[in-house]
Amino acid sequence: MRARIWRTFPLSRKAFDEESVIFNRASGSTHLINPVADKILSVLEQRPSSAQEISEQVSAEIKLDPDEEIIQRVELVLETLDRLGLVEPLPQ
Amino acid sequence: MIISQLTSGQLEEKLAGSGLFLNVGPFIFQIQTTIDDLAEGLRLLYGEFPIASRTDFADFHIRFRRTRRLRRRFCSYVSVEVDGHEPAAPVPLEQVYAVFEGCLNWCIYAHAYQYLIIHAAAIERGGRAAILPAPPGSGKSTLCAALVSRGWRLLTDELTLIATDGGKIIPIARPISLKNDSVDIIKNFAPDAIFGPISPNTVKGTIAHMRPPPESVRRVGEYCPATWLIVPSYQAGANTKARPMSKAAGFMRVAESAVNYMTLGQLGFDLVSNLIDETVCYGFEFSDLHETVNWFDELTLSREAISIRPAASNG
Repeated sequence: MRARIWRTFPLSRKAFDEESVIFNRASGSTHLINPVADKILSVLEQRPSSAQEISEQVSAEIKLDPDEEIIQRVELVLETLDRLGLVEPLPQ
Repeated sequence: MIISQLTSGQLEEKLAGSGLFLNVGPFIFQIQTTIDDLAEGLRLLYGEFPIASRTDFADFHIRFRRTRRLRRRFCSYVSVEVDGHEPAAPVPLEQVYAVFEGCLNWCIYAHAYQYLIIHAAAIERGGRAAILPAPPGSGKSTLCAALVSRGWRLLTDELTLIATDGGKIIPIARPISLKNDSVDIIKNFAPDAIFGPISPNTVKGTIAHMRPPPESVRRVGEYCPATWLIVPSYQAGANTKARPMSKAAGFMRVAESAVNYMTLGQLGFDLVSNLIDETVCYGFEFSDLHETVNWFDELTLSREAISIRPAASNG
């Protein structure tokens, strides 16, 4: 099965210290998110990506190899963001 | 002209006739009634408020009338009409003053979407304001009443209006609504405070309103920037305790407390972002009002609110 490709929606962002507040301009909802979720959203704002592609980009920035554990963690965060209406998988 | 310049007879005559054009901050309410308790409440609590001219545009036209309900033949009721509509069922006449204040609240929070409206009290000292957002029962109004009785300027007790242009707080300085035990607590804490008619047996219990300090009403045109966001929580017997709150948590608290945050969309998000940028946020537990007032007074001596501004602003 092909990996799911995720996309996000038009967002406004306000960063405060270690946390961020995200405003979903499509739904009008507002969310307080942690730095990991914030980073994932910022990757998806550049282009739709899979969990592996997101992991590779994030890992490169912090100079780590993207292992399976990181990919799984990104998948979990993506599913949470999906429930919040901040991302969605593209149709396969 | 202000209301205290009218005799009781003149005030009742206006209310019974073409109406009292009451100027409250940025709003003008045309009020008509023949109910004595309401006239008395206005005389006691709104003495310093200006009377607008009949030729001024009134934002809201409100009429309070005695009425009866079919199954309650021996109980008088009061019905409320706002701009020709009755927004709620009649309520017992003994609650008329609480209904009046509640009606003014409703007019503002249901219509004045030209502002960001936060369910919060706000007070000011030395040109810096504290916004106190909190759900009912948190002691917000008790805290607000205690502070204004010790020299803080009342900006608002119930609804904090944020200007969409510039983000300052627009004062309305209406009477402070106190419930149940809070009434006696403030009467003991501030024996000179003046209260209006008591409204018993409401869904929130017994309600009484405290007159705003005259100085606060006279300065209602002075908008004020927010410096602190303080989320109060009354805990019986608790020591006074302030803990820093993250700005992101403060943002969410304001957004949750704002009546029209969702409706304003991106503008609401930008307004709250700017507000939080400029404020220091605290959670605040309290029970002893003397300790609480001391803590707030010490806050005004701190310079922390200045230190968070960009260094470039110092020249």
